[in-house]
Amino acid sequence: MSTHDNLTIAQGVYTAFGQGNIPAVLDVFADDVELHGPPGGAPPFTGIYRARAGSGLKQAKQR
Amino acid sequence: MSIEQNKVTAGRWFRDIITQGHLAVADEIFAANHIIHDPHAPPGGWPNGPEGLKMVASVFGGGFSDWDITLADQIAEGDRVATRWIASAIHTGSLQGMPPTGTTVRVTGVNVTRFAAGKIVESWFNFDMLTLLQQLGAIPTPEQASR
Repeated sequence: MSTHDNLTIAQGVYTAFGQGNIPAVLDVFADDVELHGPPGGAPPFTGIYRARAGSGLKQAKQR
Repeated sequence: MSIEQNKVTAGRWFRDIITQGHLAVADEIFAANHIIHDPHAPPGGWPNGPEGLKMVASVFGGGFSDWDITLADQIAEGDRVATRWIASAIHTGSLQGMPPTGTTVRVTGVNVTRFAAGKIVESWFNFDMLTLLQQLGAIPTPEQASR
């Protein structure tokens, strides 16, 4: 993927989110994506979420 | 100035001014007409120019000690540098009316800076104020709020 391709994908995420198109947002993420929450945060908004480990992202993606 | 030099200069805000408390460095790296964009700024915003940066550094530098800031990512293109940072510090001083708690906090954020003629002319600050206030006990966590 080129830098331009990555930029286009990232911009598309925000466009889709703004349109409420959550399936399109989720389709951008790899199946093994890692989401890093703030290290000083409190549950559930902290730590590392892995989609393959049953995160909310995976569950949402399977709907 | 090269993009790599801009990255170094952007990093001096964290290393020289916040971590080491060398406020005079602000006069060296920020333009006289520098503008701060900060969602957590006081009413009316921070003053323009290096004085505004010194005020920001004084508020947080006075409230915390033992700073340890990691610049996790620096991404630069054209006249801008984006810096993703991770900071830890101990709350040993008054922070906007909050008495010191002795709590060690960890906070993350992203700063974007725009350069012109070798100096920073505009900065966008974004950091995790919610998490900071929760760690200081100023506001409840979701778990605490649900009790």
